[in-house]
Amino acid sequence: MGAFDFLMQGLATAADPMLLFYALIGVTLGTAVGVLPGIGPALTVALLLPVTYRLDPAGSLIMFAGIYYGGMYGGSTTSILLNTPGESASIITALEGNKMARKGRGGPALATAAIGSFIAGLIATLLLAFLAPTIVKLALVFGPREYFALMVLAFVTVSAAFGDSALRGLTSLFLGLALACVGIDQLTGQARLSFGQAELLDGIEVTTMAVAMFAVGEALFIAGQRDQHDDEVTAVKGSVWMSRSDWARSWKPWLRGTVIGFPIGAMPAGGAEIGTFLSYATEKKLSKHPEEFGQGAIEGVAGPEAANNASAAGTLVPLLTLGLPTSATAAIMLAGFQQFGLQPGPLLFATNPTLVWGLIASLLIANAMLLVLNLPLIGLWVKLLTVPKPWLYAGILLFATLGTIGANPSSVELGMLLGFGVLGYVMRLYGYPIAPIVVGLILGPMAEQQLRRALSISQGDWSYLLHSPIAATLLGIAALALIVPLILRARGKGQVLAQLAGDED
Amino acid sequence: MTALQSLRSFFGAFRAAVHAAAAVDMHRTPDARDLKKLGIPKAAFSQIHL
Repeated sequence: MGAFDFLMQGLATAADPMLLFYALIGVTLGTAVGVLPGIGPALTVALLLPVTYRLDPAGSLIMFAGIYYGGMYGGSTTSILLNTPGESASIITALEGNKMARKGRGGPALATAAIGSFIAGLIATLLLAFLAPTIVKLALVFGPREYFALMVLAFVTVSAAFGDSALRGLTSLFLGLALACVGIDQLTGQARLSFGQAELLDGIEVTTMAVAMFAVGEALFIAGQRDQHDDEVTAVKGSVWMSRSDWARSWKPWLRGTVIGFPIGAMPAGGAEIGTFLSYATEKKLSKHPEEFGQGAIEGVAGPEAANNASAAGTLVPLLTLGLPTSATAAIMLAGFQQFGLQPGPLLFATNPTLVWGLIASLLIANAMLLVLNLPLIGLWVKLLTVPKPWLYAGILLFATLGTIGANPSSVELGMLLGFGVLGYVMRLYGYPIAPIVVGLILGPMAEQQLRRALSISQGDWSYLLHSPIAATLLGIAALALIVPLILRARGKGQVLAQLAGDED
Repeated sequence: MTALQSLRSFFGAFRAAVHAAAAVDMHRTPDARDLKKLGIPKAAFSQIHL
Protein backbone atom coordinates (compact mmCIF):
# COMPACT_ATOMS: atom_id res chain seq x y z
CA MET A 1 0.00 0.00 0.00
CA GLY A 2 1.30 3.42 -0.95
CA ALA A 3 1.12 6.64 0.99
CA PHE A 4 -2.01 7.69 -0.90
CA ASP A 5 -3.85 4.52 0.15
CA PHE A 6 -2.76 4.98 3.78
CA LEU A 7 -3.91 8.60 3.66
CA MET A 8 -7.34 7.60 2.30
CA GLN A 9 -7.66 5.04 5.10
CA GLY A 10 -6.60 7.72 7.55
CA LEU A 11 -9.28 10.10 6.23
CA ALA A 12 -11.88 7.38 6.74
CA THR A 13 -10.67 7.04 10.37
CA ALA A 14 -10.50 10.79 10.96
CA ALA A 15 -14.05 11.27 9.64
CA ASP A 16 -15.36 9.60 12.81
CA PRO A 17 -17.68 12.16 14.49
CA MET A 18 -15.91 11.88 17.85
CA LEU A 19 -12.49 12.45 16.30
CA LEU A 20 -13.85 15.38 14.31
CA PHE A 21 -15.11 16.83 17.58
CA TYR A 22 -11.67 16.45 19.19
CA ALA A 23 -10.11 18.14 16.14
CA LEU A 24 -12.58 21.02 16.46
CA ILE A 25 -11.79 21.46 20.16
CA GLY A 26 -8.09 21.39 19.37
CA VAL A 27 -8.17 24.00 16.62
CA THR A 28 -10.49 26.28 18.59
CA LEU A 29 -8.29 26.10 21.68
CA GLY A 30 -5.20 26.48 19.54
CA THR A 31 -6.53 29.61 17.83
CA ALA A 32 -7.48 31.07 21.22
CA VAL A 33 -4.04 30.47 22.71
CA GLY A 34 -2.41 31.71 19.52
CA VAL A 35 -4.42 34.92 19.72
CA LEU A 36 -3.59 35.49 23.38
CA PRO A 37 -0.04 36.71 23.87
CA GLY A 38 1.90 34.97 26.62
CA ILE A 39 0.45 31.48 26.20
CA GLY A 40 1.28 29.14 23.41
CA PRO A 41 0.67 25.61 22.15
CA ALA A 42 3.47 24.15 24.31
CA LEU A 43 1.90 25.35 27.55
CA THR A 44 -1.62 24.42 26.45
CA VAL A 45 -0.65 20.86 25.54
CA ALA A 46 1.29 20.56 28.82
CA LEU A 47 -1.78 21.71 30.79
CA LEU A 48 -4.04 19.28 28.95
CA LEU A 49 -1.78 16.23 29.35
CA PRO A 50 -3.05 15.27 32.82
CA VAL A 51 -6.65 15.99 31.76
CA THR A 52 -6.47 13.70 28.72
CA TYR A 53 -4.83 10.81 30.52
CA ARG A 54 -8.04 8.80 30.70
CA LEU A 55 -9.38 9.83 27.30
CA ASP A 56 -9.09 8.13 23.93
CA PRO A 57 -5.41 8.34 22.75
CA ALA A 58 -6.25 9.03 19.10
CA GLY A 59 -8.67 11.82 19.99
CA SER A 60 -6.25 13.38 22.48
CA LEU A 61 -3.33 13.35 20.05
CA ILE A 62 -5.52 14.81 17.30
CA MET A 63 -6.55 17.54 19.74
CA PHE A 64 -2.89 18.32 20.56
CA ALA A 65 -1.97 18.52 16.87
CA GLY A 66 -4.99 20.78 16.31
CA ILE A 67 -3.78 23.04 19.13
CA TYR A 68 -0.36 23.24 17.49
CA TYR A 69 -1.76 24.16 14.08
CA GLY A 70 -4.32 26.53 15.58
CA GLY A 71 -1.65 28.35 17.53
CA MET A 72 0.13 29.22 14.29
CA TYR A 73 -3.11 30.56 12.76
CA GLY A 74 -4.17 32.58 15.81
CA GLY A 75 -0.84 34.31 16.38
CA SER A 76 -1.25 36.40 13.23
CA THR A 77 -4.49 38.02 14.49
CA THR A 78 -2.78 39.60 17.49
CA SER A 79 0.24 40.55 15.42
CA ILE A 80 -1.84 42.38 12.84
CA LEU A 81 -4.35 44.08 15.13
CA LEU A 82 -2.27 44.67 18.25
CA ASN A 83 1.32 44.87 16.99
CA THR A 84 1.99 42.22 19.66
CA PRO A 85 2.78 38.75 18.35
CA GLY A 86 0.55 36.08 19.86
CA GLU A 87 3.28 33.59 19.07
CA SER A 88 6.99 34.27 18.59
CA ALA A 89 6.60 32.83 15.09
CA SER A 90 4.21 35.69 14.22
CA ILE A 91 6.64 38.51 14.99
CA ILE A 92 7.39 39.20 11.35
CA THR A 93 3.67 39.29 10.59
CA ALA A 94 3.40 42.24 13.02
CA LEU A 95 6.04 44.13 11.05
CA GLU A 96 3.98 44.52 7.89
CA GLY A 97 0.56 43.34 9.05
CA ASN A 98 0.06 46.03 11.69
CA LYS A 99 1.17 48.71 9.22
CA MET A 100 -1.49 47.41 6.81
CA ALA A 101 -4.10 47.50 9.58
CA ARG A 102 -3.25 51.11 10.46
CA LYS A 103 -3.81 52.03 6.82
CA GLY A 104 -7.29 50.50 6.93
CA ARG A 105 -6.17 47.25 5.23
CA GLY A 106 -6.46 45.00 8.26
CA GLY A 107 -9.00 42.80 6.46
CA PRO A 108 -6.73 41.87 3.54
CA ALA A 109 -3.85 41.36 6.00
CA LEU A 110 -5.90 38.90 8.04
CA ALA A 111 -7.19 37.24 4.88
CA THR A 112 -3.77 36.73 3.30
CA ALA A 113 -2.48 35.37 6.63
CA ALA A 114 -5.38 32.91 6.97
CA ILE A 115 -5.42 31.75 3.35
CA GLY A 116 -1.62 31.51 3.25
CA SER A 117 -1.69 29.48 6.45
CA PHE A 118 -4.31 27.16 4.93
CA ILE A 119 -2.40 26.62 1.67
CA ALA A 120 0.91 26.12 3.45
CA GLY A 121 -0.67 23.78 5.99
CA LEU A 122 -2.33 21.76 3.22
CA ILE A 123 0.81 21.39 1.10
CA ALA A 124 3.04 20.71 4.10
CA THR A 125 0.68 18.10 5.55
CA LEU A 126 0.55 16.32 2.18
CA LEU A 127 4.35 16.41 2.07
CA LEU A 128 4.38 14.91 5.59
CA ALA A 129 2.06 12.14 4.40
CA PHE A 130 4.16 11.28 1.35
CA LEU A 131 7.58 11.61 2.98
CA ALA A 132 6.78 9.71 6.17
CA PRO A 133 6.76 6.18 4.68
CA THR A 134 10.16 6.79 3.01
CA ILE A 135 11.74 8.07 6.20
CA VAL A 136 10.24 5.20 8.18
CA LYS A 137 11.82 2.69 5.75
CA LEU A 138 15.22 4.37 6.29
CA ALA A 139 14.74 4.47 10.05
CA LEU A 140 14.04 0.72 10.23
CA VAL A 141 17.77 0.11 9.85
CA PHE A 142 18.44 2.27 12.94
CA GLY A 143 19.71 0.41 15.97
CA PRO A 144 20.53 1.70 19.48
CA ARG A 145 23.77 3.43 18.42
CA GLU A 146 22.08 5.20 15.48
CA TYR A 147 19.25 6.42 17.71
CA PHE A 148 21.73 7.58 20.34
CA ALA A 149 23.71 9.48 17.70
CA LEU A 150 20.49 11.07 16.40
CA MET A 151 19.58 12.23 19.90
CA VAL A 152 23.05 13.66 20.45
CA LEU A 153 22.57 15.64 17.22
CA ALA A 154 19.19 16.87 18.46
CA PHE A 155 20.75 17.88 21.82
CA VAL A 156 23.53 19.82 20.13
CA THR A 157 21.33 21.65 17.62
CA VAL A 158 18.66 22.52 20.19
CA SER A 159 21.15 23.87 22.69
CA ALA A 160 24.28 25.08 20.96
CA ALA A 161 24.06 25.41 17.21
CA PHE A 162 20.90 27.47 16.79
CA GLY A 163 21.11 29.87 19.67
CA ASP A 164 22.72 33.08 20.82
CA SER A 165 25.14 31.46 23.25
CA ALA A 166 26.37 27.88 23.06
CA LEU A 167 27.45 28.00 26.72
CA ARG A 168 24.00 29.03 27.96
CA GLY A 169 22.27 26.56 25.68
CA LEU A 170 24.45 23.68 26.82
CA THR A 171 23.99 24.71 30.46
CA SER A 172 20.21 24.52 30.00
CA LEU A 173 20.55 21.19 28.25
CA PHE A 174 22.71 19.63 30.97
CA LEU A 175 20.35 20.94 33.62
CA GLY A 176 17.54 19.13 31.81
CA LEU A 177 19.63 15.96 31.50
CA ALA A 178 20.48 16.11 35.23
CA LEU A 179 16.81 16.47 36.11
CA ALA A 180 16.06 13.51 33.85
CA CYS A 181 18.36 11.36 36.05
CA VAL A 182 16.10 11.88 39.09
CA GLY A 183 14.09 8.79 39.93
CA ILE A 184 14.51 5.05 39.65
CA ASP A 185 17.08 3.74 37.17
CA GLN A 186 15.17 1.67 34.60
CA LEU A 187 17.88 -0.99 34.27
CA THR A 188 19.12 -1.49 37.83
CA GLY A 189 16.08 -0.34 39.83
CA GLN A 190 18.21 1.93 42.04
CA ALA A 191 17.01 5.32 43.22
CA ARG A 192 18.98 8.27 41.80
CA LEU A 193 19.00 11.84 43.12
CA SER A 194 15.77 11.29 45.06
CA PHE A 195 17.28 12.51 48.38
CA GLY A 196 15.10 10.06 50.29
CA GLN A 197 11.88 11.65 49.01
CA ALA A 198 9.29 9.10 47.94
CA GLU A 199 7.65 11.63 45.59
CA LEU A 200 10.88 11.91 43.58
CA LEU A 201 11.18 8.17 42.95
CA ASP A 202 8.97 8.54 39.87
CA GLY A 203 11.20 11.30 38.57
CA ILE A 204 10.38 14.89 37.65
CA GLU A 205 7.00 15.11 35.91
CA VAL A 206 7.35 16.55 32.41
CA THR A 207 4.04 18.36 32.76
CA THR A 208 5.12 20.01 36.02
CA MET A 209 8.38 21.19 34.48
CA ALA A 210 6.77 22.37 31.23
CA VAL A 211 3.95 24.20 33.00
CA ALA A 212 6.41 25.78 35.44
CA MET A 213 8.77 26.93 32.69
CA PHE A 214 6.17 28.15 30.20
CA ALA A 215 3.44 29.45 32.50
CA VAL A 216 4.88 30.47 35.85
CA GLY A 217 8.24 31.57 34.49
CA GLU A 218 6.68 33.57 31.65
CA ALA A 219 4.12 35.21 33.98
CA LEU A 220 6.86 36.27 36.41
CA PHE A 221 8.99 37.58 33.55
CA ILE A 222 6.16 39.65 32.04
CA ALA A 223 5.22 40.97 35.50
CA GLY A 224 8.83 41.97 36.09
CA GLN A 225 9.12 43.98 32.88
CA ARG A 226 9.21 47.71 33.47
CA ASP A 227 7.79 48.91 30.18
CA GLN A 228 4.21 47.78 30.57
CA HIS A 229 1.97 49.23 27.91
CA ASP A 230 -1.72 49.22 27.21
CA ASP A 231 -2.35 47.54 23.90
CA GLU A 232 -4.68 49.29 21.49
CA VAL A 233 -6.57 47.06 19.09
CA THR A 234 -6.60 48.45 15.55
CA ALA A 235 -10.14 48.07 14.26
CA VAL A 236 -10.69 46.05 11.08
CA LYS A 237 -12.17 48.55 8.64
CA GLY A 238 -13.70 47.81 5.29
CA SER A 239 -13.90 44.43 3.65
CA VAL A 240 -12.14 41.41 5.11
CA TRP A 241 -11.51 40.03 1.61
CA MET A 242 -8.59 40.50 -0.72
CA SER A 243 -8.61 42.37 -4.01
CA ARG A 244 -7.35 40.87 -7.28
CA SER A 245 -4.08 42.73 -6.83
CA ASP A 246 -3.72 41.29 -3.31
CA TRP A 247 -4.24 37.74 -4.63
CA ALA A 248 -1.72 38.36 -7.43
CA ARG A 249 0.87 39.57 -4.94
CA SER A 250 0.21 36.84 -2.37
CA TRP A 251 0.12 33.50 -4.16
CA LYS A 252 3.83 33.26 -4.92
CA PRO A 253 4.88 34.25 -1.36
CA TRP A 254 2.50 31.56 -0.04
CA LEU A 255 4.26 28.90 -2.09
CA ARG A 256 7.76 30.20 -1.39
CA GLY A 257 6.98 30.45 2.32
CA THR A 258 5.86 26.81 2.29
CA VAL A 259 9.07 25.70 0.58
CA ILE A 260 11.16 27.65 3.11
CA GLY A 261 9.23 26.77 6.27
CA PHE A 262 8.72 23.00 5.81
CA PRO A 263 12.37 21.82 5.76
CA ILE A 264 13.37 24.26 8.49
CA GLY A 265 10.58 22.96 10.73
CA ALA A 266 11.85 19.42 10.14
CA MET A 267 15.38 20.34 11.22
CA PRO A 268 16.33 19.79 14.86
CA ALA A 269 15.87 23.12 16.62
CA GLY A 270 14.71 24.64 13.33
CA GLY A 271 11.65 26.24 14.88
CA ALA A 272 9.08 28.36 13.10
CA GLU A 273 10.75 31.73 13.72
CA ILE A 274 13.80 31.04 11.55
CA GLY A 275 11.59 30.24 8.56
CA THR A 276 9.57 33.42 8.97
CA PHE A 277 12.67 35.64 9.06
CA LEU A 278 14.10 33.92 5.97
CA SER A 279 10.78 34.19 4.16
CA TYR A 280 10.61 37.94 4.85
CA ALA A 281 14.16 38.44 3.57
CA THR A 282 13.32 36.42 0.44
CA GLU A 283 10.10 38.30 -0.29
CA LYS A 284 11.79 41.66 0.12
CA LYS A 285 14.53 40.64 -2.30
CA LEU A 286 12.14 39.28 -4.91
CA SER A 287 9.35 41.84 -4.57
CA LYS A 288 8.48 44.26 -7.37
CA HIS A 289 7.56 46.75 -4.63
CA PRO A 290 10.51 46.64 -2.18
CA GLU A 291 9.90 50.27 -1.19
CA GLU A 292 6.61 49.19 0.42
CA PHE A 293 8.39 46.92 2.91
CA GLY A 294 8.26 48.52 6.34
CA GLN A 295 5.13 50.44 5.29
CA GLY A 296 2.69 47.54 4.94
CA ALA A 297 3.67 45.21 2.09
CA ILE A 298 1.24 42.30 1.73
CA GLU A 299 4.07 39.95 0.67
CA GLY A 300 5.64 40.54 4.09
CA VAL A 301 2.56 38.97 5.67
CA ALA A 302 1.78 36.26 3.11
CA GLY A 303 5.24 34.64 2.96
CA PRO A 304 6.09 34.51 6.69
CA GLU A 305 2.63 33.27 7.67
CA ALA A 306 2.89 30.45 5.13
CA ALA A 307 6.38 29.67 6.42
CA ASN A 308 5.32 29.38 10.04
CA ASN A 309 2.41 27.06 9.26
CA ALA A 310 4.53 24.90 6.97
CA SER A 311 7.13 24.58 9.72
CA ALA A 312 4.48 23.25 12.12
CA ALA A 313 3.87 20.34 9.74
CA GLY A 314 7.61 20.02 9.19
CA THR A 315 8.10 19.56 12.93
CA LEU A 316 5.79 16.54 12.84
CA VAL A 317 8.01 14.72 10.29
CA PRO A 318 10.86 13.80 12.66
CA LEU A 319 8.45 13.49 15.60
CA LEU A 320 6.23 10.86 13.97
CA THR A 321 8.83 9.02 11.89
CA LEU A 322 11.81 9.01 14.26
CA GLY A 323 10.33 9.96 17.63
CA LEU A 324 12.57 13.02 17.62
CA PRO A 325 11.11 16.32 18.82
CA THR A 326 12.63 19.38 17.17
CA SER A 327 10.89 22.05 19.25
CA ALA A 328 9.56 22.45 22.79
CA THR A 329 5.97 21.91 21.62
CA ALA A 330 6.97 18.73 19.79
CA ALA A 331 8.80 17.54 22.92
CA ILE A 332 5.63 17.94 24.95
CA MET A 333 3.59 16.18 22.26
CA LEU A 334 6.11 13.33 22.53
CA ALA A 335 5.35 13.24 26.26
CA GLY A 336 1.69 13.02 25.24
CA PHE A 337 2.40 9.94 23.13
CA GLN A 338 4.41 8.36 25.95
CA GLN A 339 1.56 9.05 28.38
CA PHE A 340 -0.56 6.59 26.38
CA GLY A 341 2.26 4.05 26.20
CA LEU A 342 2.99 4.91 22.56
CA GLN A 343 6.47 5.62 21.20
CA PRO A 344 6.47 7.55 17.92
CA GLY A 345 8.84 6.17 15.34
CA PRO A 346 8.96 3.52 12.61
CA LEU A 347 7.48 0.84 14.87
CA LEU A 348 4.39 2.93 15.55
CA PHE A 349 3.71 3.08 11.80
CA ALA A 350 3.91 -0.72 11.76
CA THR A 351 2.02 -1.55 14.96
CA ASN A 352 -0.55 1.27 15.01
CA PRO A 353 -1.02 2.55 11.44
CA THR A 354 -4.67 3.48 12.08
CA LEU A 355 -3.66 5.94 14.79
CA VAL A 356 -0.78 7.50 12.87
CA TRP A 357 -2.56 7.89 9.53
CA GLY A 358 -5.73 8.99 11.28
CA LEU A 359 -3.64 11.72 12.97
CA ILE A 360 -2.05 12.84 9.69
CA ALA A 361 -5.41 12.84 7.88
CA SER A 362 -7.06 14.76 10.71
CA LEU A 363 -4.48 17.52 10.19
CA LEU A 364 -5.92 18.06 6.72
CA ILE A 365 -9.41 18.33 8.18
CA ALA A 366 -8.19 20.58 11.02
CA ASN A 367 -6.53 22.86 8.46
CA ALA A 368 -9.86 23.38 6.69
CA MET A 369 -11.62 23.99 10.02
CA LEU A 370 -9.05 26.67 10.84
CA LEU A 371 -9.75 28.60 7.65
CA VAL A 372 -13.42 28.78 8.61
CA LEU A 373 -12.63 29.70 12.22
CA ASN A 374 -10.17 32.42 11.42
CA LEU A 375 -11.81 34.47 8.71
CA PRO A 376 -15.57 34.67 9.32
CA LEU A 377 -15.17 34.48 13.11
CA ILE A 378 -12.50 37.16 13.36
CA GLY A 379 -14.79 39.37 15.46
CA LEU A 380 -14.90 36.72 18.17
CA TRP A 381 -11.12 36.53 18.41
CA VAL A 382 -10.83 40.31 18.52
CA LYS A 383 -13.01 40.29 21.65
CA LEU A 384 -10.48 37.97 23.31
CA LEU A 385 -7.84 40.63 22.82
CA THR A 386 -9.71 42.99 25.12
CA VAL A 387 -8.98 40.75 28.15
CA PRO A 388 -6.68 42.83 30.40
CA LYS A 389 -3.17 41.35 30.73
CA PRO A 390 -3.23 41.07 34.56
CA TRP A 391 -6.42 38.98 34.38
CA LEU A 392 -4.93 36.86 31.62
CA TYR A 393 -1.76 35.99 33.53
CA ALA A 394 -3.65 35.48 36.77
CA GLY A 395 -5.86 33.00 34.92
CA ILE A 396 -2.81 31.26 33.46
CA LEU A 397 -1.26 30.87 36.91
CA LEU A 398 -4.53 29.59 38.35
CA PHE A 399 -5.00 26.94 35.65
CA ALA A 400 -1.35 25.97 35.86
CA THR A 401 -1.60 25.40 39.60
CA LEU A 402 -4.93 23.60 39.43
CA GLY A 403 -3.74 21.41 36.57
CA THR A 404 -0.60 20.40 38.44
CA ILE A 405 -2.41 19.66 41.70
CA GLY A 406 -5.17 17.84 39.82
CA ALA A 407 -2.65 15.51 38.18
CA ASN A 408 -0.48 15.00 41.29
CA PRO A 409 -2.10 16.20 44.51
CA SER A 410 1.10 16.66 46.50
CA SER A 411 2.76 19.59 48.24
CA VAL A 412 6.12 18.46 46.83
CA GLU A 413 4.68 18.74 43.30
CA LEU A 414 3.38 22.23 44.06
CA GLY A 415 6.75 23.18 45.51
CA MET A 416 8.44 21.94 42.34
CA LEU A 417 6.01 23.93 40.20
CA LEU A 418 6.87 27.12 42.04
CA GLY A 419 10.58 26.30 42.26
CA PHE A 420 10.91 25.54 38.57
CA GLY A 421 8.78 28.57 37.78
CA VAL A 422 11.28 30.80 39.58
CA LEU A 423 14.06 28.95 37.74
CA GLY A 424 12.30 29.67 34.44
CA TYR A 425 12.05 33.37 35.37
CA VAL A 426 15.74 33.57 36.30
CA MET A 427 16.70 31.75 33.10
CA ARG A 428 14.71 34.22 30.98
CA LEU A 429 16.23 37.13 32.90
CA TYR A 430 19.79 36.01 32.19
CA GLY A 431 19.20 34.82 28.62
CA TYR A 432 19.23 31.05 29.17
CA PRO A 433 16.98 29.28 26.64
CA ILE A 434 14.07 27.19 27.94
CA ALA A 435 13.66 24.66 25.11
CA PRO A 436 16.91 22.70 25.83
CA ILE A 437 15.94 22.01 29.43
CA VAL A 438 12.57 20.56 28.36
CA VAL A 439 14.13 18.55 25.52
CA GLY A 440 16.84 17.29 27.88
CA LEU A 441 14.25 16.15 30.41
CA ILE A 442 12.17 14.32 27.81
CA LEU A 443 14.86 12.89 25.54
CA GLY A 444 17.48 12.28 28.24
CA PRO A 445 16.05 8.96 29.50
CA MET A 446 15.59 7.71 25.92
CA ALA A 447 19.16 8.64 24.98
CA GLU A 448 20.48 6.95 28.12
CA GLN A 449 18.50 3.80 27.36
CA GLN A 450 19.82 3.61 23.78
CA LEU A 451 23.41 4.26 24.91
CA ARG A 452 23.26 1.56 27.56
CA ARG A 453 21.77 -0.91 25.07
CA ALA A 454 24.54 -0.14 22.59
CA LEU A 455 27.21 -0.55 25.27
CA SER A 456 25.74 -3.81 26.52
CA ILE A 457 25.78 -5.15 22.91
CA SER A 458 29.43 -4.13 22.58
CA GLN A 459 30.21 -5.26 26.15
CA GLY A 460 31.41 -1.82 27.17
CA ASP A 461 33.38 -0.94 24.03
CA TRP A 462 32.68 2.76 23.29
CA SER A 463 34.23 2.57 19.82
CA TYR A 464 31.22 0.43 18.83
CA LEU A 465 29.28 3.70 18.60
CA LEU A 466 31.48 4.78 15.68
CA HIS A 467 31.53 1.48 13.81
CA SER A 468 28.21 2.21 12.13
CA PRO A 469 28.55 4.66 9.19
CA ILE A 470 25.16 6.22 10.00
CA ALA A 471 26.00 6.72 13.67
CA ALA A 472 29.48 8.02 12.87
CA THR A 473 28.06 10.48 10.33
CA LEU A 474 25.42 11.75 12.76
CA LEU A 475 27.97 12.17 15.54
CA GLY A 476 30.30 13.93 13.08
CA ILE A 477 27.50 16.35 12.09
CA ALA A 478 26.79 16.94 15.79
CA ALA A 479 30.46 17.77 16.39
CA LEU A 480 30.46 20.16 13.42
CA ALA A 481 27.20 21.72 14.60
CA LEU A 482 28.90 22.40 17.94
CA ILE A 483 32.29 23.58 16.72
CA VAL A 484 31.50 25.56 13.53
CA PRO A 485 29.21 28.17 15.17
CA LEU A 486 31.88 28.70 17.85
CA ILE A 487 34.51 29.31 15.19
CA LEU A 488 32.21 31.66 13.27
CA ARG A 489 31.35 33.58 16.43
CA ALA A 490 35.04 33.88 17.31
CA ARG A 491 35.76 35.15 13.79
CA GLY A 492 32.90 37.59 14.06
CA LYS A 493 34.25 38.95 17.34
CA GLY A 494 37.71 39.14 15.78
CA GLN A 495 36.40 41.20 12.88
CA VAL A 496 34.55 43.53 15.26
CA LEU A 497 37.70 43.96 17.39
CA ALA A 498 39.78 44.65 14.29
CA GLN A 499 37.25 47.22 13.14
CA LEU A 500 37.27 48.89 16.55
CA ALA A 501 41.05 49.02 16.49
CA GLY A 502 40.90 50.53 12.99
CA ASP A 503 38.37 53.14 14.15
CA GLU A 504 40.63 54.12 17.02
CA ASP A 505 43.47 54.72 14.55
CA MET B 1 25.82 36.56 -8.99
CA THR B 2 27.89 33.38 -8.99
CA ALA B 3 26.72 30.19 -7.32
CA LEU B 4 29.30 30.64 -4.56
CA GLN B 5 28.11 34.19 -3.88
CA SER B 6 24.51 32.98 -3.77
CA LEU B 7 25.48 30.24 -1.31
CA ARG B 8 27.36 32.70 0.91
CA SER B 9 24.41 35.08 0.79
CA PHE B 10 22.01 32.29 1.76
CA PHE B 11 24.14 31.08 4.68
CA GLY B 12 24.63 34.66 5.84
CA ALA B 13 20.87 35.22 5.84
CA PHE B 14 20.36 31.85 7.57
CA ARG B 15 22.80 32.75 10.35
CA ALA B 16 21.11 36.11 10.79
CA ALA B 17 17.69 34.40 10.94
CA VAL B 18 18.96 31.94 13.58
CA HIS B 19 20.38 34.74 15.77
CA ALA B 20 17.27 36.87 15.33
CA ALA B 21 15.00 33.93 16.22
CA ALA B 22 17.07 33.20 19.35
CA ALA B 23 16.84 36.85 20.40
CA VAL B 24 13.07 37.15 20.00
CA ASP B 25 12.63 33.87 21.87
CA MET B 26 14.21 35.65 24.83
CA HIS B 27 12.00 38.75 24.35
CA ARG B 28 15.02 40.74 23.10
CA THR B 29 15.36 42.87 19.97
CA PRO B 30 17.77 41.19 17.55
CA ASP B 31 21.13 42.70 16.73
CA ALA B 32 21.04 45.54 14.17
CA ARG B 33 23.47 43.64 11.92
CA ASP B 34 21.17 40.63 11.78
CA LEU B 35 18.11 42.76 11.04
CA LYS B 36 20.00 44.57 8.29
CA LYS B 37 21.05 41.24 6.77
CA LEU B 38 17.39 40.18 6.71
CA GLY B 39 16.23 43.48 5.22
CA ILE B 40 14.19 44.36 8.32
CA PRO B 41 14.08 48.07 9.26
CA LYS B 42 15.29 48.33 12.88
CA ALA B 43 13.01 51.28 13.62
CA ALA B 44 9.95 49.33 12.45
CA PHE B 45 11.00 46.23 14.42
CA SER B 46 11.51 48.25 17.61
CA GLN B 47 7.85 49.24 17.54
CA ILE B 48 6.71 45.62 17.89
CA HIS B 49 5.74 44.71 21.45
CA LEU B 50 7.96 41.68 22.04
